[in-house]
Amino acid sequence: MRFQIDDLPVIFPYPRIYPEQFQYMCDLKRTLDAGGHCVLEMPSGTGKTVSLLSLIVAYQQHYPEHRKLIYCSRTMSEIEKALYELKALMEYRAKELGHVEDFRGLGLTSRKNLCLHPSVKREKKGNVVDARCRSLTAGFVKEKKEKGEEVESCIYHDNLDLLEPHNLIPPGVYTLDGMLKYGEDQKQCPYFTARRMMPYCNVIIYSYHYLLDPKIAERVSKELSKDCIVVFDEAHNIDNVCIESLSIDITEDSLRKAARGCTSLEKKIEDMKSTDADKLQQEYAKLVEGLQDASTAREEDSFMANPVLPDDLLKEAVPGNIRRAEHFVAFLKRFVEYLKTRMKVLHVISETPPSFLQHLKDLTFIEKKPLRFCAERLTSLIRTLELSNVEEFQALQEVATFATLVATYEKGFLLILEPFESDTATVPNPIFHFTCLDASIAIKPVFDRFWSVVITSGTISPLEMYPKMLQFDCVVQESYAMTLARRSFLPMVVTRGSDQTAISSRFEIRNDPSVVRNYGNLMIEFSKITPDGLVIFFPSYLYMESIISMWQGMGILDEVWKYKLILVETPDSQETSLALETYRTACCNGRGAVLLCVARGKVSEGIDFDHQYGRTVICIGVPFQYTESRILKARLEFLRENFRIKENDFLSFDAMRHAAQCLGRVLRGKDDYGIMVLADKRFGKKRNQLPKWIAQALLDSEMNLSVDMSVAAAKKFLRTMAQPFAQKDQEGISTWSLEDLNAHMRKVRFQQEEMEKMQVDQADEAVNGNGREEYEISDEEMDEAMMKLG
Amino acid sequence: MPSITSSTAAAIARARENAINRGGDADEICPVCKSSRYLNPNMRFLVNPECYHKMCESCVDRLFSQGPSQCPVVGCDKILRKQKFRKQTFEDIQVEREVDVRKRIAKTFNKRQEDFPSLKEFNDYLEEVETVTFNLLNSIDINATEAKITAFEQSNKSSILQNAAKAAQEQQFALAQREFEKEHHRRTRELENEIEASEKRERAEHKANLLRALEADNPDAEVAKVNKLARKKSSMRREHQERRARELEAARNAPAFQFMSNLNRVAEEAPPEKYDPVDGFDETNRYFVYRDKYESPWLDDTRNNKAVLAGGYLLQQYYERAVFEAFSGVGCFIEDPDIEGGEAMAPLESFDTPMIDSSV
Repeated sequence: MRFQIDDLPVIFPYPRIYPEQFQYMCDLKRTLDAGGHCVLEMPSGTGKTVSLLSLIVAYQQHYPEHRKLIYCSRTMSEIEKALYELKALMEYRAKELGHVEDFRGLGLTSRKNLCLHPSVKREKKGNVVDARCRSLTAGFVKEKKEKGEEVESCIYHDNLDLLEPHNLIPPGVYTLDGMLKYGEDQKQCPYFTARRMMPYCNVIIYSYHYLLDPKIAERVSKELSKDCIVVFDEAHNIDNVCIESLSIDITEDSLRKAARGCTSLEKKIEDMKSTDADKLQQEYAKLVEGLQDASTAREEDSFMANPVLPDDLLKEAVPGNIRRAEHFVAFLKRFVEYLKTRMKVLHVISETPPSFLQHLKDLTFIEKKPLRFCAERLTSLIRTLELSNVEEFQALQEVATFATLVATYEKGFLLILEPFESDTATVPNPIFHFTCLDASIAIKPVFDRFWSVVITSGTISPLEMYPKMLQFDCVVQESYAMTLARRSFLPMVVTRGSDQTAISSRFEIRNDPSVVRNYGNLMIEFSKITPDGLVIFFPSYLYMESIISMWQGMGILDEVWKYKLILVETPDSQETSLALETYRTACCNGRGAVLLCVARGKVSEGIDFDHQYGRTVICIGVPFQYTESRILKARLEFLRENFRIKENDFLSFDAMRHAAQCLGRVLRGKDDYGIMVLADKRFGKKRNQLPKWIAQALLDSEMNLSVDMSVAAAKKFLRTMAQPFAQKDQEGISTWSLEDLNAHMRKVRFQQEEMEKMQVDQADEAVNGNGREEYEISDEEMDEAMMKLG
Repeated sequence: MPSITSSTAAAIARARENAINRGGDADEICPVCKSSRYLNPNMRFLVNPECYHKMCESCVDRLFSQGPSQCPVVGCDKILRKQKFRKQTFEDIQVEREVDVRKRIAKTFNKRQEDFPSLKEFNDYLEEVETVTFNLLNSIDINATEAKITAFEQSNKSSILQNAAKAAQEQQFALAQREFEKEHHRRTRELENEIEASEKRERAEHKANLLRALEADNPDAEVAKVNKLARKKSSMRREHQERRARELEAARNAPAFQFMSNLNRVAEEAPPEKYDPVDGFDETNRYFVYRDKYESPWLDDTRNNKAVLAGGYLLQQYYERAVFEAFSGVGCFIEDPDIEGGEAMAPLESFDTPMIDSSV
C-alpha cells in the first residue's frame, strides 16, 4: 500500500497497517527532518522493524541526500529477520514502482558465520576462526606471496582482489544465507565482501558491537559518513552493552598468559633482530614520526584497534621510552608483574584510576603517558613482527587495552579487586575488575558523529531514563499504546495468596514456607487452566533452585506433573536449548509444559513464546539485581552523583525493564493472546514504570488480586478468547486498510484545521473581548462620573 | 564457644598469611637451608639488592646476625648485610632488580617535558634514558654508562634538584586534592541522606497530622490547614537544604584555588632570613622626627664656624644624639617582662603618633 506522510511517499509492503505503525512512522520522519535523536517505544509484535525500514527506505529514495541507514540489532536471529524484512520490502517496492531501484543492503556478522574456507569454517570457536582467517588473509601474506614465497592463503579472499573494489557484489538485498550462497557461487569471501562494500551500501545491518565496542568500531565503522541514520533496535539494554564494551576483567590466569606472551614476544624480537633487523628499524623510524603515520598502515587485518583514543593522541608521537621494541616489551613485563603483585592482596580494594596510576608510578616508575599508548604500540609491534597466531597474545592484548583505558579516563571508571569469589570462600581466586560506570562514554562518539540516532524497543520505559543515562538530548520521545479490537492480553498483579498472606520475593521473607506455598499454588492453578505453554520467571538462579527444592518437599511439583511437563532453564546454554526444544514439542502436541526460567537469563532476552508456546507468563518476584555486588554499588553511586539518579529509582527501573521484557515474551502480535501475571506485593506501586501498552491494559480492579481471584479472572479471559474472532472484526480499529488510513489522515487534517481555526477564533475573541471590556469599563466610569456630577 | 570462633578466625588469618607469602608455589624450598614450606608453614623469603639471591628469614638471621658476611649462594662473592635484606615485591626477580635500577635512574634523570623545546627532543631524551637503564640492567657497557650517568648528574645538578622539588610538590597537591574530594564526597552524601530522612519524617508527620485533622469537628478546614502548614514547612526546609547544597558546591570550587596558591607559595620558597644580631630589636624611632635645624643661640655660632665644620663636625649628629637621649626612656616599662617585644610597645604608638616636636 502506498500513502503520503506530509510530502514523503511511503510504500508499505502489506495491504493493512496498524495505527501505531503509522504513528511511529510519522514520529520517525519528524526526527529525521529535525536531525536529532529520538527514543521510541512500540509494543512488541506490532511490526516495528518493517515500519522502520519502509519509512527510512522511502526517505532515502525520495530525498537526494540518500542518507545511509545503519541498523543495529542484538542477536544473529534478529539481524537475519531484519534482512528478510528488508528483502521483502525491496521486492514489494520493485513491484509497486515497476522498476528495480539501485539499492544495496547487506548484513555483517562474525567471520564464524560467514566463512567459506573449507577447513577454517569447521572450527567451532569464534576466536579460533578469527585467528585462522587472519593468518590466511593478513597483508603480509599477500606480500610474501607476491615475492614468490610459498605461503598458505585463502582463495576466497584472494579472489576479491580481482574484482572492482567498489562493486564486489551487484546491487540488491542479501540475507546472510544469500551472501553465503553468492560467495560460494562466485568463489569470493562473503565476510570481506560485506566489510569492503560497507561504504557503498544503502542499508547496513549488524550487531551493536560493531558500533559501540571501541575495539571493533574503529575498524569497521570509521568510514561511515555523518549523515547516516543510526538505529538501535531492542535497545532496552543498551546501557549495559555500552558498559560491558569498556569493562575488562583480569584474572590470575590471564596475567600468567600475558606474561607468557611477553616472553614469546621477546623471543620473536630477538629472532627478528638476527634475521630482519631492517624491519624493526623501519617501524622505529615510523614511530618517531607519530602514530598517525603508523596507523595509515592499519588495515582490516590489524588484529586489534585502539579503544576510544582522543584524536590528539593519535597525532602525537609514541613516547620515547617505549619506542624501541625491546624497551616496550620490558615495559609490558613490568606492568604485568605489577598487576600480579596487586592480585596478591587479600582484601577488597576499590580505587579510582588516578590513585591506581599514582601507586603504579611509585612502585614501578611507569608513567601515565606511555601507558596510554600501550594498546596502539602493541598492535604496531605485532604487525611488524608479522605474527599470525595472535591467539597467543590475546591475554596480553587485553592487558594493553586495560592499560590504555586506565590511563585515558580519570572519571567514570573504577578498579575493584575482589580476592575471593564469595564471602565464605577461603581460597583466593582474585579478579581485578576494571569497570566502566558511565554508559555514556562508549556511546558518546556515536551521538557526536551521527545526526540522527534512533533508539527503539518494545519495552524501554521510563523513556526519560535513557537520555539521562546516555547523556544525549532527544527531539522526539514517544511511547505508543496498542490498539486492540478485543482485549487480547490480560495483565494482572497478584499480591496475596489464597490465604490472604502477602507474597513477595523480598529477601527477608522469600523463603517463608507460606510465601513459597502460595507461589506454588499460583503455579498449580495456572497450570490447570492454561492451554499449552506456561512460562515462569524467577529473579535469580539461586532463588529458583531453592524454591524448586522446597516445592518438591511440599509436593507441589507432583501436582503440576498431572497437568504439564516441567522444564528448567540452567546456566548451561546447551542444556537450556534442549529444554526449550522439549518445551516446544510439548506445547505443539497438546501436552503443554511449564518452563521455569530466570528473568535475566538467555530465555528472557532472545526467545519468543508466541501463540501456543506461551499462553501465560508468571513473573515471580521483582527481578532486582543482586544489590550486594560491588560493581553495581559503584555504578549506583556514580549515577547518583553525576546524573542525579537515585539508587532506588535505578534499581526499580532496571527491575521493571526486565520484568517488562519477560512479560513481552508472550505476546508477539495482534492475533496472539496471553495472560501476564506479576506475582509480588511490590508490583502494586510500580505500575507507572511498566511500558505504556502494558500499563494501559492493566485495570485498577486487577492491581491487587489474590491467587483465587486472579484464577477466576484468567478463566473468564480465556473463555472470551475462545470465541471465534474474524479478521474483519479488527478492520478499522486495530488494522487500517488504505481507506481507513486516508480517512484518518483526513480527520487529522480536519482536526488540525479546526484547531487552527479555533486558535484564530480565540485570538480574535481575545482581541474583541478586550475591546468590549474596555468599553464596559469606560461605561462604568462614565456612570460613576455621572453619579458624582449628580 | 567464643574460643572456638577465635581459633578458627586465627586459622583463617594464618591461611591468608600463607597465601600472601606463597607467591604461587605451595612447596617452595629455601635454596640455602633446603627447608620447605611443608616443614615451616610461616616461611618468608627475603632478598638483598646486592645480588638478589633469595633465602628464607631464618637463614638471614643465622648467617648475618654477626655482621656482614658473604652470600651463601655458590659462586656469589658479594658481601651482604642483614640490614639491607627486604621482602620481595615482585614475583619476577628480574623485575625486582629492574625497579631498583629505575629508582636510581629516576632520581637523576628527572627532566620534564617543559624542559625541552619540542616533543621530539623530549622523546629522544626518554629513549636515551631508557637505553641507559637497559644497559645497566643487561650489563652492557657498564663503565661507559656509569660515566654517562655521572656526567649527566654533574651537568644538570640544579635542574635535577628543581625538578625533584616540583615533582614532590605535584604529588602533594594531588594528594591534597584527593583528600579534599573525599571529604566533599562525604559531605554531599551526608546532606543527601539528611534530605531523604527529613523528607520521610515530614511525610510521616503530615500523615499523622492529617489523621488528627480528620478526627476534628470540621475536618475540611482542618485538613486544609494541615496541608498548608506542611507545604510551608517543606518549602522552608527545601530552601534551607538547597542553600547548603549551594554552599557545598561553592566550597568545592573555591578551596581548589586555595590549595593551588598555598602550594605555589611553598614553591617560591622565600630566601633564607637574614641573620639578625640584635634579635629583632627595632632601632627606628617612633616618637619623634628630626628637624634640619633647631633654634638655639648656643649652637648658632658653631653652625657658622668654618673652623669647626671643616674638621668634620656635623651639627646634625649633635641634634640627633641630643634628641635621642631625651626620648630614650620612652616606651620602656620596667615591670613589663618583654619590653623589647613589638607587642608591648604597640599601644604607645597611638598616643605618640602626633609626633612630638622636639624643638622645645
